[in-house]
Amino acid sequence: MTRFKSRFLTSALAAFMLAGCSTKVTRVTHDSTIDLTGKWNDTDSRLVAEEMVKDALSGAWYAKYAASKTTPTVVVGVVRNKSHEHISTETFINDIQRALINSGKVEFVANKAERGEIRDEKADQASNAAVETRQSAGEESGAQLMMIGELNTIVDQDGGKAVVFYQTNLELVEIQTHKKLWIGDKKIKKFVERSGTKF
Amino acid sequence: MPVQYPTSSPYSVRTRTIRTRSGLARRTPPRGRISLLALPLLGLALLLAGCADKSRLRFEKIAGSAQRDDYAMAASDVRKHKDLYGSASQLLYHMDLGVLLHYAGKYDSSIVELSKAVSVHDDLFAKSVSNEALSLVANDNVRPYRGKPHEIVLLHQFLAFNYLALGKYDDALVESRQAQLYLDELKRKAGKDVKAFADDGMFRYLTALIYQATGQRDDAAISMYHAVKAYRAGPIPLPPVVAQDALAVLKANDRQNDIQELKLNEAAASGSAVPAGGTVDPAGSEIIVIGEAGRSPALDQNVFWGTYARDGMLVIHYRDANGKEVTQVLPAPGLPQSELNKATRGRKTRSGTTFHIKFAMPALKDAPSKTRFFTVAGEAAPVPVKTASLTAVEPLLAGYLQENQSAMLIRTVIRVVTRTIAAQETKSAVSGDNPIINLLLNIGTDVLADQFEQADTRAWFLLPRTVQIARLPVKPGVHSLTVQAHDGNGNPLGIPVSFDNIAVKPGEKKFVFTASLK
Repeated sequence: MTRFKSRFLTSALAAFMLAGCSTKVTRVTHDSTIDLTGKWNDTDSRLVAEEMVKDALSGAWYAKYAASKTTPTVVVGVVRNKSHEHISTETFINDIQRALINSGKVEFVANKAERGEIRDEKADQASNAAVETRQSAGEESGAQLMMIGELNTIVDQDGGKAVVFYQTNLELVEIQTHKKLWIGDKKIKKFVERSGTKF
Repeated sequence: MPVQYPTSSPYSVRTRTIRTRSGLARRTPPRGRISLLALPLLGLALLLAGCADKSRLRFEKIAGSAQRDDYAMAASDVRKHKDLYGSASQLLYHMDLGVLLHYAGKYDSSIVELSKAVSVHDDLFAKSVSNEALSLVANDNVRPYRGKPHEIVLLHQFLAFNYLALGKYDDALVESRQAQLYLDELKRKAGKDVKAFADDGMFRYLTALIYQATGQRDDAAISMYHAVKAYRAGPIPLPPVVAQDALAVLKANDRQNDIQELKLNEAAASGSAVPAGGTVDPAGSEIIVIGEAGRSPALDQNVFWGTYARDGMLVIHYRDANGKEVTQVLPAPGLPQSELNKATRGRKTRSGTTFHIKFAMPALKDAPSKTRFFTVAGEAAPVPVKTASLTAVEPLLAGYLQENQSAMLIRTVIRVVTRTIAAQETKSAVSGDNPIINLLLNIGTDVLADQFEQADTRAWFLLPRTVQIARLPVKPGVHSLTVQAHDGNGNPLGIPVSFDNIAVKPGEKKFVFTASLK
């Protein structure tokens, strides 16, 4: 084979190989840990939810309700994001709600925004739905406890290196008395390195 | 007698032996064979042919609609002329689109575009070695645009504006914190250089307002303290409204030491008349009107061209501020005496040879606009309130050029020298027996090399000339107001913009945004 043909075939082969590398998809399990940028991701959300659920269900606050054989009713209040990243707190709050409801030990009622929407629906039914199918107003379940919290970060950065510390705090507050019955927290720390040069 | 070689494949290595007048034989590169340096030069010509001052083209195509306050049309123009940005200016593309959408009141869409800009800026953290090397041969426009420091702070600021317009105070604070991290990194890199841009008064002041809006009194006080310090250290004078507000907040938080350290009592008293809105109760309900007024300057280039005579003279031409061509003859480093002596001995010498040179440096270019301030009137402001300026982009851009002048000049010199050597090599390599062809090839090489020399004039020219503020204390309830733009003489510009059904809760700070770039 002449040198020219050899070079041509090598180039063509390289072109085909590179063309095949444009998009590659690998399916992974939902709980696999893949950190691409060092920012808050689904793994962090999952770790927070798991820790909070475990801590909440084993807390001393539940004993009072267990003793009186009642199931506490909780409403989710404001979970503030006081960090330096735009983080959707709904992801781990929803995970916590689902885990607590599925445990059978806690009940949740709709939050403020959801209640507004449901009340609009009730008002609409009162005007438009058949009498026997209407859902009555004034029959809502009041929550006994409110879950509130915040997410904070501390960042220590020097050039391409950064240490990022996330702390998520959640609290259960008794609505009647404003007493705080439970405080849970989850700390996550990451060391992120970014290269300052590339080819 | 010269040795003859058979003419076969141009790829084979050949040399030619000639006899000079003194009888010495020398090898010379074969005629017509392109030197290795010339090939990249020609290749770059093809690649960079489209790079001819796209900044100016963008300015011409997009600025017109923006200046008529037709921001939706301007955003459409940006999308239509995406090719004018190219892959090296993606940051600028998203910033331009994002700020136009903000002016048009499309805050959600603006957040999407400006967030993409933040993401592009993050990705550009790593500098490409090959790209940097290429820019030393071609020009700085091949480097990806990373934004000027004040532009990156304003990028986060405009994102915060969008979130405030949507009532998302926590998200606005996230942007403030991101900007803070960026400024901290700038401060670390600046070290002891006190003149370097490493803080921004408007950013600190507006962060203080957001902290007030979210009831974080201590953070608001700290931010106000830093706002005053940042204004005093930077090119923008401390606005009287900031001095007054800082005094009120620090007093409310019992921070007398800070008030004394900043000499705020004197500053507040000696400033020009406080806007009729007066000082606001930090914890009270209010409507805060933010106005984006006029057009910030863009960048153009100052071009210098001429001839460097190796014997020690530089003839430089440039255009002055009136466009008139000026020529200056300057002394320049010359050849050593030993080289000059060669001519007297009848030996070949570099004395008498010249280099054509051209280099370009970025310079401020004012963008004409009339809007200078706004007045706020209506139900929420029974006595019309004149806005106060919080920042101006022109001093920030001028400061950037001054701060980076040495670095830009060094890069330019390296680039010009590298290109000049490459051009000379090319001329030597392609020279033949025909003087007409030699002349055309030499001129062509110089023209080609000249085409590469373009200053990096990219800038976020769609920023406003100034950012204005008016704070209106109001009772909780539903309010309305109108905002009128004015020129420097106080004449109204365009029709007033009305804002109705502004619902303000007890203790809430409601932000309203308006823009007039005309």
